[in-house]
Amino acid sequence: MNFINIDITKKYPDFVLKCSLDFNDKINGIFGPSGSGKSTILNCIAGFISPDIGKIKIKDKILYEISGSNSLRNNNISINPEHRNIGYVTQKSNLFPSMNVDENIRYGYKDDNAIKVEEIIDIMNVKNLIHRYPGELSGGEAQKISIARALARFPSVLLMDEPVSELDLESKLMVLGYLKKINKSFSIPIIYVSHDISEIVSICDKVAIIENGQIKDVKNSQLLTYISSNDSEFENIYVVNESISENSIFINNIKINTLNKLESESAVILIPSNSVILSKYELNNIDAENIFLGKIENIKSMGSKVRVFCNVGFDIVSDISEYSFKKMDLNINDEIYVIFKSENVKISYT
Amino acid sequence: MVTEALILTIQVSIYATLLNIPLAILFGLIITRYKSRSINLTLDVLISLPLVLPPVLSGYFLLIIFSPSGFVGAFLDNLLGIEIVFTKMAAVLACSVVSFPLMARAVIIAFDSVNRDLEKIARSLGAGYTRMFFTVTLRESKYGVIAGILLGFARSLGEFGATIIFAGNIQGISRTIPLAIFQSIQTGNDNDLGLLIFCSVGLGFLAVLINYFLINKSVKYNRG
Repeated sequence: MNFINIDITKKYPDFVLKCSLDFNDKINGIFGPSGSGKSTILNCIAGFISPDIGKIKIKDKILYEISGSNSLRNNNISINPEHRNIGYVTQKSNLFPSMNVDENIRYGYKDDNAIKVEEIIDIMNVKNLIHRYPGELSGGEAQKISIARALARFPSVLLMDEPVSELDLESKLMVLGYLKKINKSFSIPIIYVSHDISEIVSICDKVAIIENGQIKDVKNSQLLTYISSNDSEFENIYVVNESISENSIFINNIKINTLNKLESESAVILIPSNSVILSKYELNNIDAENIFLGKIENIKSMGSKVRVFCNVGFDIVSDISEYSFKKMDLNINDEIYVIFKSENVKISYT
Repeated sequence: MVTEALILTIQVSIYATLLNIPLAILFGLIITRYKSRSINLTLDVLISLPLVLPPVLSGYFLLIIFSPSGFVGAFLDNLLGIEIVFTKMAAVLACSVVSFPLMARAVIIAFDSVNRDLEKIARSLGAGYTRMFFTVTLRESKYGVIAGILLGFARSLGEFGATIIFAGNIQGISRTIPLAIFQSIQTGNDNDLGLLIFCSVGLGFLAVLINYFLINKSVKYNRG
């Protein structure tokens, strides 16, 4: 079911944003390079930028509607940002510096909320931080509080503008894990904007691809393999909330061996693309615990290396050298063995 | 005479400062938050003018405007029966005009240093303009704003030129410490002069010292 309908046009002297999107109540991504108009879309939804023309609707509530015709000017709708009930999380945590964590979280809290602050503090696991001030928090902790603050208003949608781009890897994985948890626990739809393909693939159900202010395509994130990406590093990220047993996890019911015993029921798993080995033939005596037979879905040349998008029951990307690629003679739809060591499976807990 | 001048100086400076605070905040908000370049430029020039004009000239302009034949003075005199020139109110207005640029400039800098994203976040969290202003803009710029208020107060303590033209040099009404110092030099009253200079330097030193600490705190606060 489409939960969010956006159909807007915004003209700047050197840039035109033309966006028509329908999103569901899951985690929806907007992927595109810097300056492509991703943040402008979020600002329009939040009410900080007024589109020249168009309509923004969330569930049954019209937030913005301006028609091009002068005769209809009286029917124009533009709800102020404070009345839109939208959670907004930016790249920087932007916590109010003079307020402690508790005051920050309660800033937008409404007494008649379906969720209580204590519940949010509990699920975000920030009880030990509530008396601290923003200056005393790490980047990951601050961003967690920023998300908790947005949640405390029980928004009808959570807008996230590259929320983990300034975080270190560990904090990034922790925050991504919480987003899945939030969407599942509170049924709050999320619009997640990023220029990092691995973030988008790891958490989004549906992704809009934007370039130069134009929506090029809308895909399920599993099909994101067709996106051209210039990222030098690709990290395969998986958010796992179930089926964890000792020294193994399950991604889409496929068992992955890990080095250490897992400590929590939910975790974020990261497998760097340059640690994933490909083989056309089955290898029996090899020093790697994870060997899967799958299919090549797409191949992208990345200059000196080639990015191979495979599916072994779950999507996984491998970066191999151009020399290896030519030697192996790989083609789309070829059967392929995907191999990686359990020590290369990095785990972060939420 | 010294005690009277000291009390009057503090009274006049406090009134002038109180008069300036809402105006400085209003101008500060318009200049830093309103996006019209022409309006901002006009306001900026208007604010800065008393800073570059000789205070005597500012006093002269006030005299023209508020004298019973001036357009504001005539209105006040005829309709409300209020005379401003050569009263304590005139001393307050003179101090207010001369000290306003210093306070307004400091407030503008303080408002400008507030991260606009914080204001956006506050709006998204349900805060209207008023709540956003008091809980975010003003709260996050408080040290800079207080420093500006104190700077304006300190400038009022030392105001001379505009006051003597617009409010005269009347004991108990407009003879503040700077005017009393002028009077003592003119009449050769060395006994009072020393004490007046001590009061003037002491008050000024205290105000500048507090201002220094507040600015320091503001810079550290903005750096996070």
